[in-house]
Amino acid sequence: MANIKNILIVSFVIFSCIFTPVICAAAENEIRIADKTGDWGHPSPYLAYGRGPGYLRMHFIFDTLVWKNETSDFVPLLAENWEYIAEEEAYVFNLVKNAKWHDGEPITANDIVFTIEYMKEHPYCWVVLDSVDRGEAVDDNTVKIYMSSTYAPFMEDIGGTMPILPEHIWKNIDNPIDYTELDAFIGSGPLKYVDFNKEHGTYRYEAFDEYYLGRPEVDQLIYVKTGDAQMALQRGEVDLASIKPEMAETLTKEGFVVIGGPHYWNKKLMINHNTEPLDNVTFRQALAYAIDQEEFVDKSLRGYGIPASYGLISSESKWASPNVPAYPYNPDKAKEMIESLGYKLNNGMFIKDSEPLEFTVLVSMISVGGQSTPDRDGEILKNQLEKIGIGVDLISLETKIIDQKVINWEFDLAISGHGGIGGDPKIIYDKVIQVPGTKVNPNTARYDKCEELNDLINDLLHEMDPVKRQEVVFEAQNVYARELPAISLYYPTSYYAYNPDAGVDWFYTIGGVSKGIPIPQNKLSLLVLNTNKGDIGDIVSGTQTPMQTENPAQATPLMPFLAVFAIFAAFYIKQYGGNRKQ
Amino acid sequence: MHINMLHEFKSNKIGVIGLSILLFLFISAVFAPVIAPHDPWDYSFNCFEPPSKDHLLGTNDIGYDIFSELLWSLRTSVVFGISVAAIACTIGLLVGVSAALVGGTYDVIVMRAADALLAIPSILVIILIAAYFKPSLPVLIITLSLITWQTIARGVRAQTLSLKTKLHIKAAKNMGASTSYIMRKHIIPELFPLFMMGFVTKTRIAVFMEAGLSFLGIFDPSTKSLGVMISYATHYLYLDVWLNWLLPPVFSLSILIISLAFISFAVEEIFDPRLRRNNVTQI
Repeated sequence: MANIKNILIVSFVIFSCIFTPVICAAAENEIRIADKTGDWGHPSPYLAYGRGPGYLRMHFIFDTLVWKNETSDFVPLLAENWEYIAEEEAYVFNLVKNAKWHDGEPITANDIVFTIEYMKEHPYCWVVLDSVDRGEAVDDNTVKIYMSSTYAPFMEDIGGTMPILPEHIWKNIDNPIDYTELDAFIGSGPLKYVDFNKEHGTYRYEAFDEYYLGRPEVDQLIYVKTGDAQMALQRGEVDLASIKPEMAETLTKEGFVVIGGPHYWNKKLMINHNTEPLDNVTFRQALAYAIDQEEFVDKSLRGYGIPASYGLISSESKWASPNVPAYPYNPDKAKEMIESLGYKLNNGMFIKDSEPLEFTVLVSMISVGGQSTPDRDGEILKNQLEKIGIGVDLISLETKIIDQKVINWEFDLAISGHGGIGGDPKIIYDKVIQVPGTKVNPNTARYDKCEELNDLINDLLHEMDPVKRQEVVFEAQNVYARELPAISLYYPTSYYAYNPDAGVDWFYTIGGVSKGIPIPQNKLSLLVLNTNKGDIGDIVSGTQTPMQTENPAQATPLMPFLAVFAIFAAFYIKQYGGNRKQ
Repeated sequence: MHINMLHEFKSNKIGVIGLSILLFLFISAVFAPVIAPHDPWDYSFNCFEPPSKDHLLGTNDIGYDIFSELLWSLRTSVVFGISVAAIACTIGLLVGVSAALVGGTYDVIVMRAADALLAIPSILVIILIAAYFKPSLPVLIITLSLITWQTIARGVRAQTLSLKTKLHIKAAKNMGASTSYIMRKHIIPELFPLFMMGFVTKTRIAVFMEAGLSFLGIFDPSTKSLGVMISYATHYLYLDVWLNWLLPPVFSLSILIISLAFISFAVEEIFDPRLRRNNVTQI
C-alpha cells in the first residue's frame, strides 16, 4: 500500500515538475500568430522581404512619424503633431518628448534628419525620397522636411511608412542589406526584437516597457510557422490565423472572432511586355478578352471574391475610376484581335511563320498576405487560353523563385499578386515604374513605354489639389486599363479569426496597413484595448493609462510550492511506511 | 534457369494476389480514356458535389470528376513506374554485364561511377532539376532512370562474374563463341530472374517517387497524378471530403505499391529456393 502511495506521490512530483514551467509560461500574456510561409526576412528595414508580411514583421519594432488607424486616419506616433507650410514647401513635425530607442537612448529630430539622408543614400524599397530635398532639425523635438517638389502622398508614403532609424547605430553601417548584428533591430516601436529563426520561420518580440505611448498589452508576440493555421487556431496553439472562407461560420460558433477583409489584394497576371507578341497592346487586350474573370472567382475562389478592375486600383477604393475600360469575356473578339496581328488558326492553335503561339506561365500559389495556398488559377488560365488557340505550358514554383524569375524577365506570363490597391493611388506609380536605384519589386510591371501614362503618373504624385488629383488618378487608371502592363484577375475575400480571450482585438485597416497592406496586424491593436482604435488622442495625451497586465505566473507561483510540498510528503510517507514494517 | 516460372507463380498465393491487383489497376489505367465517365480536365461541374450516379466519387474544389481524375492519375503512375524501371534496368543490365565481361579499366571506371551515383540522394537531384529545368514527365522519367540504375548494375555484375566461371560458359568460349554471343545466349537469359526482381522493385520505387514529387508540386499542376490529388485533397479536409476525395488516391497508391511488393516477394521466392516454404525444388 505504501508502495502505491509512493508511486502516486512520485508521479505527482514528476507531473508537477514537468508542467510547472509550461503553466508559468502560458500564464504570460503571449500572442501567437500563425503563418504558413514563416520566413519573411529579418525584422529590420533593409533585411525584411519586400512584401507586406515582411514590412509587418518590421513595423512592430520600428515606428514611423505618423500611422494609419482602423479608419485610415493619420494618428501620431513619433510625431505629436504636424503641419504643411505651403509657402516653404515643407512639413513640420513636432516629436513626442519622452520617446526612447530600445537601447535607452532618446529619440531626437536628428534621427529623422539622419533617416532621410541615409535612405537617400541607401534606397529603401518601401519609401521613395526623390521629392524630399532635405530634413532639418529645428530643435531636439522639431524637424522640418523640405520638399524638392510637391508630393501628394507624402503623409502615407513617407510620414506613415518610413521607419525611423537610430542615428547612433546606423551612422556606422555602410551596407545595410548585409548587416544582421543585433543592433540592426533596435527601434522605437512598441515591441522589442528577441529572436528570429530563418529555418523555422519564427519571430519573437517582447513588450518595450518604456514605450512612449505606454507599454503594449502583450508581453510577447510570436509568429509561428504552421502548415494548417486554422487547425492551429482551433487547437489553441495560436491566437490569430488566416482561415478558409467556408470555416467562418463554424469558427464564429466556436467562440472565435472572424473578420472579413476588404478587397485590397489582387491576383494579377504579370506580362513580359519585352517579348513578342506580348509587347503589343492589341495582343494584351486580346488576352484580357480571352480571360474570364468570373470563372476565376467561381472556380478558384469558389465564389469568395470579386472580379478585379483592369485599372489596378481596387474597385472598392475611394480612388476607383468610375469608367475604367472593361474587357468582358469574349473569346471570339480575342481571336479576331490575334488574327489581326498576322496569326492564323491551324488545328485550333494560332501559328505565325510556322511558329505556334504558346507561352510559359509561371504559377505561384500566393494568396492574401503572401500566404501560399493551393489554387487552380494556372489550370483555369491554361484552359481559357487554349480555348482560343494559345498553347500554355504551366510551371508551378515557389513564390520567391517566381518573383526572382519575374525580376530577371525569365518568363512570358506569371500569376502573382499583391496588396496596396486600396490605399493611396501612388500604387500605380509603384507597380508600373521601376524607381532607379531601388530593389526591383516582383510586382512592378516596369512599363514606361506609354508617355501618356508616364505623365499621368507624374501628375498624380505631385498634384496637391484633391479634386484635380482625383481626376488625374481616374485618368491614370483608364490609361492603365487600356495599356494593360499587367492584367488584374480578381480580389479574394480573405478572412482572419482570432481568439478574443487572448486580449488583442485585431482589425483590418481601411486602405490597408501603412501603404495598403491588407492584413489585420496593425500594431495599434496591441496598444489600446477595449477602446476605439481610432481615438489615439487619448494615448498621446497620456490620459489613457496603459493597463498593466497581471502576470498570473508571478502572482501565484502555486505549482513550484506544490512540488516542494509533494517531495516532503513522499519522504515522510516513506519513512513512516518503513517504520510500520519494522 | 530450369524453372517453370508460370507454374511456380501460379502456386504462389502472394504472387497471384499481387499480380491480380496489378493487372486490375493496369487495365484501369490503360483503358482510362474509355472507362472514365468524364474528361478529367473538364471543370464545368459544380464544386464539391457528393458522390452520385453521375459522379461516382463526387467532384473536387474546382469541379473535376474525381473518379475520372483518379483513373487518369493511375495511368500517369503506371506509365511513370514502368518507364523508369524499364530504362533503369536496361542501363543497369548493360552496364553490369559489360563491366563483368570486359573488366579492366572499363570495369573500374563504370563501377566507381555507379558507387558515386549511389551516394547521391535521387530525390534531391530531381527537386534541383525541377527547379532549374522544365519538369515535364519524360524529362523526369529519364532523369530518374539515369540516377537509379546502379543497384541493378552492381547485382548484375556480381552475378555475371560468377556465371563467367561456369563450365558451360567456358565451353562456349572454347568453342569460339564471341563475347556478344555469350552475353546474348547465355548470360542475359541466366540473369532474367535478377532483372525481373530489379524491374519490379524499381517500378515500386518510381511509382512512390512520382506520387511524392507531384505531392510536393514538382510537376505541372495540370498533370493528373495521385500525388497531386492527395496534395489538393489534404487542403480541404476541414470540409469533410476525405472519404470521396482523399481516400481513393491514397488507397489506389497503396494497393499499387503493395501489389508490386507482393510480386517482388513471389519472384524472389521462386528464383531463390532457400526462401521457399515447402521444399519442392525444381533445380
